[in-house]
Amino acid sequence: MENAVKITRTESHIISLIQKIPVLSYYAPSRGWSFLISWGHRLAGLTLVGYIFAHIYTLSLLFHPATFDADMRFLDHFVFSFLEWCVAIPVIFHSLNGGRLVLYELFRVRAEEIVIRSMLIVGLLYIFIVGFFFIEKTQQISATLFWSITAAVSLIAFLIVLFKIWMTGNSILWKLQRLTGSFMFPMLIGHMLVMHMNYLTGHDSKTILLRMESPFIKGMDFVFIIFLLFHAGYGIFSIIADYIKPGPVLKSLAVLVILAMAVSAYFGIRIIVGL
Amino acid sequence: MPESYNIILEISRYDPESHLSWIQTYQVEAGGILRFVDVLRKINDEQDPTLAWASSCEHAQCGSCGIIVNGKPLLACELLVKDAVEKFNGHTFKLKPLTIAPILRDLVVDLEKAYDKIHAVKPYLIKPAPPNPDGDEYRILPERVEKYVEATQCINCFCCATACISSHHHFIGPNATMANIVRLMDPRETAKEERMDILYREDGLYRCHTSKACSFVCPKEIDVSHFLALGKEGKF
Amino acid sequence: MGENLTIDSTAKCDVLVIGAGGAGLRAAAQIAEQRPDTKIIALTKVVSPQKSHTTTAQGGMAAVDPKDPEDIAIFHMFDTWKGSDCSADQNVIKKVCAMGWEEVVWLERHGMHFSRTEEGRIAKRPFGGHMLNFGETKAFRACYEATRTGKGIMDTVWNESLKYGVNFIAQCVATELLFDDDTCVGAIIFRYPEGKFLAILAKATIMATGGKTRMYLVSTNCRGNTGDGLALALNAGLPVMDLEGVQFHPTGIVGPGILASEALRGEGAILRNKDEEPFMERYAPTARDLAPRDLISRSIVTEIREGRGIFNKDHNAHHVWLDLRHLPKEVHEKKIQEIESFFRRFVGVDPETDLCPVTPTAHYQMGGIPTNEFGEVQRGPQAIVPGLFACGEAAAASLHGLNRLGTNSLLELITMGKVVGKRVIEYLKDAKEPEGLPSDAGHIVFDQFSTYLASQGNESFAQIRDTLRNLMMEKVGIFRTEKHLLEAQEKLKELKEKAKHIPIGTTSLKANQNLWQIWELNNLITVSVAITYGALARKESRGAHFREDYPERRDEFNYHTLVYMPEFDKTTLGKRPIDLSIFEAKGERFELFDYIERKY
Ligand SMILES: Cc1cc2nc3c(=O)[nH]c(=O)nc-3n(C[C@H](O)[C@H](O)[C@H](O)COP(=O)(O)OP(=O)(O)OC[C@H]3O[C@@H](n4cnc5c(N)ncnc54)[C@H](O)[C@@H]3O)c2cc1C
Ligand code: HEM
Ligand code: HEM
Ligand code: SF4
Ligand code: F3S
Ligand code: FES
Repeated sequence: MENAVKITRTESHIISLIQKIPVLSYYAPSRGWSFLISWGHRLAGLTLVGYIFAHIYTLSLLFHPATFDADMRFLDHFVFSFLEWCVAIPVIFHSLNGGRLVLYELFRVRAEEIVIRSMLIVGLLYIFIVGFFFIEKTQQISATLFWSITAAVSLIAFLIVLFKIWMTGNSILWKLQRLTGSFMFPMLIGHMLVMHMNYLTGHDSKTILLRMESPFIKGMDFVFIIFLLFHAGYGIFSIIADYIKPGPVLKSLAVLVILAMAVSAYFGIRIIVGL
Repeated sequence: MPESYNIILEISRYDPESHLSWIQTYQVEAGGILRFVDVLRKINDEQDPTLAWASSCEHAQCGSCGIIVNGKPLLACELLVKDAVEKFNGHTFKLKPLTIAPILRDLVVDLEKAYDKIHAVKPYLIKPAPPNPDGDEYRILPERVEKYVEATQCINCFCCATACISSHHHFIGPNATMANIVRLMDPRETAKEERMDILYREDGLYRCHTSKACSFVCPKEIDVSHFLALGKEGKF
Repeated sequence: MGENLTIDSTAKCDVLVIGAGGAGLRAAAQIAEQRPDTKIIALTKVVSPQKSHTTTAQGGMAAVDPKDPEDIAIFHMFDTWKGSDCSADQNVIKKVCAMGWEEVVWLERHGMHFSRTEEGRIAKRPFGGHMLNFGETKAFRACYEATRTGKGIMDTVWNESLKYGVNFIAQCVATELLFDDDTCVGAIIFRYPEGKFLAILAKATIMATGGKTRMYLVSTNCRGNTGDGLALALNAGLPVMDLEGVQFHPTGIVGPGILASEALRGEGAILRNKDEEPFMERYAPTARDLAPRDLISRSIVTEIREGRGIFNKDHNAHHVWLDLRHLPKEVHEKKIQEIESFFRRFVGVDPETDLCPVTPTAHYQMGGIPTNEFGEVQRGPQAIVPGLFACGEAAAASLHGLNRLGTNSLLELITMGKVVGKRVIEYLKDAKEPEGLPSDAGHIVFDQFSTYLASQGNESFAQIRDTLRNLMMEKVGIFRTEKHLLEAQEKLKELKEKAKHIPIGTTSLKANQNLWQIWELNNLITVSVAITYGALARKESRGAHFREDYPERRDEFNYHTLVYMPEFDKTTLGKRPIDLSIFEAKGERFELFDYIERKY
C-alpha cells in the first residue's frame, strides 16, 4: 500500500538522503515509513513526558520569583536556548502525528500521502516560527485573548472527537487518550507558541505571575495539566503493555505509572492554586 | 535471459539439540530467476543438507515460507534473486526466522503456536444467521462483499505480525484481529457482541498503534491497517 | 541410533483423519456436527490445516444449481462420464453430481466468501468440458471465490472443524497404518518438531492425504505432495487404483510449475517453439492453441523432443514459449492481469514485451486408494477394509476415471468428504474400541527410519530426486511406451537402492528436515513404481494415459487397474469393473452413458 504514495522528485531526493541514516536505512525499506513515524511518535511522547516533569519542577520555583528568575537565567546561554527551541520538534511532531492518527483511526482519512506531506510542511513552519519569535522577542499579544481562542478551538476539537468516539466499543481509557490528545492538539501547539511570542510571557516571573492571577488562565492550566498527565500516563502504560503480558507485573507497573502521574498532578495543581 | 548472481547468505541458525545459535555464511551462484526457496534448496543440495527452512505451495498461496530478509518479513517463495539484489541494493542477504513463535531449527519457526492466536478469535461464523426461507444460499450483494473481500485473502503467513511495532509480545496480531473484523463485517454473522468483546481485549486492538508495517509488508497487498482502523472506529 | 526408535506415547480417539485437507476436514466437520462428542484427531504435514494444498486451487467448484433454468444434473453427469473417457464409475458420478449444489450451499452457510452476482447470488462461470444439453454449449456451472476457490473451501472446512473442537496435530506425518487382523485401528505418526513417534488408536481412520505428483520434474503440486498416503496403503498390502491416470496441464510456468491458465490462450496467446514458430498450427490446424489440454501437452513435448524446445539452465528444464506480446494493452491490463502477474513475479519476465517460458506440468492424479461409493477402502474389487475410509485426491472412488474435468475435484472433495463422514458415523455405532497397540506396531516405520539414520553412503539426495523427476517426466509422462516404461522401472529400482545410501546430515530427530525428506523421497519412488505398473498394463490410450505404442482406446481395457505392492517392486495386478449404473438403469438418454467416443 505504502508503495502507492506518489512522491515528487525533490522529495525522493530528500528521502534517499534521509535513508542513508543507519537505523532508517534498515527500517524504511523493511517496515515502511509509517513504522518509523510510529517510533518517532513514541519517542516524542516519552520526551515530552520527561519534559513535563522538568517543567513542573521549574514552574514550582515561581513560589520564589527571585529564585525563578535567577535559576532560569541559564536559558540565556545559547546552548540552552537552542535546546528550548528544540522542544518545538517533539511538540509539533507528536501533536500533528497524533492528529493524523485520530483522523486515520476515527475519521477514515486514508489519504495519508497528503496528510503526511501537510504535516511536514506545517511542522517545519511551526518550528521556524517559534524560533523566529524566540529570537525577535518583540511581539506583543494579549495572553487572555490568545488563550480564549485556543481554549475555544481545543474544546471544539474535543467535542468533535467525543461525538465520533463515544458510541464505539473501545475502552474508556483508550477513548480518553484520543480525547485528551485532541484537546491538547490546539492547546499545546498554542501554549508553546504564545510562550515565545512574547518572550516575557513565558520566561519572566512577574509577567507569568500577573497572568496567573486570572481564574480563567488557572482554569485552563488546570484542565491542561490533568488531561496531559492522564494522556502521558496511559501512553506510558500502553507502551509497557506491548512488552509485558497482562498479569501481576503489568498491574504493578500500572500502579507505579498512576502514582508518578498523581504526584506530578499534585505538584502541578499546587502551582495553579498556590500562585 | 538467465543471468547469474554470486550472492552471499548470512543465515541465522539454531540447533534444538545443543540450543546453540550462530550465523552461517553461504556463498551461492544463483540464477536471477531462482526464488529464495530454490536457493535454500540449492544450499541443501550442494553445501549443507542440515539447513532447515519451511515451505509448502511455493507460489505465494499458503504462507508457510515466511522469513526475514534484511529486516523485511516476506515469503521466500516469492522473492527472486534478481529482484532481491535490486530491492536490497546488494548481494549480501541476512536471513532470519520470523519472530512470532519459537524457533524449531534454523529458519523454521513453530507457526503452529502462532496459529493459536488465530484460533482465539474464532475465525468461523459463531452464530450464523438463520438461512433464508428458500433453503439456498444467503443473498449478499457484491457491493457488500467488496467492503471486506480484500481481508479474506489473508493466508496467515504472519509477516505482518512480525513487522508490527507491538510485534509478537502481547498482541494477538494484525492478521488475527483482521480475521475477527472480517466476520464482524460478514452479514451472515449474528454473534456481533461476542466478536466485539474479542476485538476489544487488552491484547487486541489496543495494541495496534497504526504503525502500518502490516500493510507495508503484506505479500497479499492487503491494507491490514485499514481494517484495524475500522475496528477502532467501530463501524464496519 | 536406529534401534532406539520407540513409540513415545499412545493416544486414543474415535476417528483419525490422516490429511486435514479439504476432503479430510469436510468429513471431520460432518462427523463433528452430526455427532458432537466424537473425539476426532486430524493430521497434517503443514503447520496448520489452512496451509493444505487445497488452498491453492483457483478456478472453481462445479455444481448444478437447481434454480438454473438451463442446466440440469444429468448434463453434468454426462460431461464427467465423457471427460473421463468412459472410465469413471457411474454410481459415483450420479451421487456426486446430484449432491453438488447442496454442498455449495453448505459451504456458503458456513461462511465461505463466494463471488456474487448482481442479485447477491453465488456467481458461476464456464469451465472446460462443462456443457449444456449433452455437449452443445458451454455451461455456467463453476461456483467460485475470485481466484481463491480452494482457499475459500479450505478455510471453511478448517473453521468448521475448529468450531466443533476437532483436534489438529500439525507438522506430522502418518508413517504406518495399524491393523488388528483386517481392521484398521489407527496409525503411527511422526512429529516433526520433537521428532517423536506417537501411536494413535482409532475406531475409524480416514485417509485424505491429497495430491501426489511431486515425482514429476514440473508439477503444480506443493512440496509435501509426495504420495505418502498411497505408500502407506501399499506398505499395508492394500491396492492402489488407476495410478496411470496423471493429468498434465499444458502451460505450467517453467520452474515453479505454477499454472498459467487457459484463459491466456483464450485471449489469443500463441505457443511458439525455439524458432518462434507457432507450432500448434501443425498439430491442430483448426483449433490450434485452443485444442484440448492433452493434445497440446503432447504437441509441446513433441516439439521439445525434436529439439525445438528451449533449455532453461536455472531450473534445469526444457520449455516452449507462450507469446502474449501481440495482445492489445487493455487485454493485458484488464483481462489477464492477474495470471500474467505470475510470470512477472516468478520468472521475472514481462509478458507485454517478453516471451513467457511454459512447459506441461503434472497437475493432478486421478487414481488413488480404491474405495466404493461410500468411501470405504477396498482390499479388492469387492472386499472392504473395516475401519478404513478414504476421500479426496488420495482416493479413487472413482469420479474421474482416467481423466478429470476442471472444477470436478473440489466438488469431489466436498461431496465425498461428507459421504465418508456420514458413513463413519454409521460405522461408529457398533465399532469397538481398538484393544491396544498391535504387537508388530512400528515394524515398517522403524525399519525405514533406522535405515535412513544409519546410512553412511555417499549417494546424493539431490541427484536421486532430480533423476527421479526427470525420469518420470520423460518416460512416464505425457507419452508412454512399453520400452520407456520398462526402462523407467529398472531405473526406479536402482534409485530405490541408491536412496539407501544417502548420508544423513544430522541424526537428531528434532526438526530433521533431511530425514523427513528422505522418507518422502522413498514414498515418491514407491508410488512412481506403482504408476509404471499401471501404465504398462494398460495397453491402450485413454484419458490422460497416452501410449504411443497403443494410441487408441480399446474396449478390452474397460476396467480400473489395481496394483498391489506389499514389498518394493513385488507387485500383483488386479482389475475392478467400471460401474455403469446410469446406463443400466435405462433412464432418459441412457444411451449416452455407454462407452461413447470422446470427441469435442
Ligand atoms: C494449482 C492447482 C489448482 C487447482 N485448481 C482446481 C480447481 O480450480 N478446481 C478443482 O476442482 N480442483 C482444482 N485442483 C485440484 C484440487 O485442488 C486438489 O485435488 C484438492 O485440493 C485435493 O484436496 P485433498 O483434500 O484431497 O488434499 P489436500 O488439500 O492436498 O490435503 C492433504 C492433506 O493431507 C496431509 N498429508 C499428506 N500426507 C500426509 C501424511 N503422510 N501424514 C499426515 N498428513 C498428510 C497434507 O498435509 C494435507 O493437510 C487444483 C490443484 C492445483 C494443484
Ligand atoms: C498535542 C496533542 C497530542 C495529541 C493529538 C496526542 C495524540 C496521541 C495519540 C493519538 C496517541 C496514541 C498513539 C498510539 O496508540 O500509539 C498518543 C500516544 C502518546 N502520547 Fe500523545 N498526544 C498529544 C500530546 C501528548 C503529550 C503532551 C504527551 C506527553 C507529555 C504525550 C505523550 C504520549 C505518549 C507517551 C504516548 C504513547 C506512545 C505510544 O503508545 O507509542 N502526548 N498521543
Ligand atoms: C519551552 C517552551 C515552554 C514554555 C516557555 C512554557 C512556559 C510555561 C509557563 C510559563 C507556564 C505557567 C502557566 C501559564 O503561564 O499558563 C506553563 C504551564 C504549563 N505548561 Fe508550559 N511551557 C513550555 C512548553 C511546554 C510543553 C512542551 C508542555 C507539554 C509537554 C507544557 C505543558 C504545560 C502545562 C501542562 C502547564 C500547566 C502547568 C501546571 O498547571 O502546573 N509546556 N508553561
Ligand atoms: S495480513 Fe498479509 S501479512 Fe498478515 S498474515 Fe495475512 S497475508 Fe500475511
Ligand atoms: S503493523 Fe501493527 S501497529 Fe497496527 S497498523 Fe499494523 S497492527
Ligand atoms: S510456500 Fe506457500 S506461500 Fe511460500
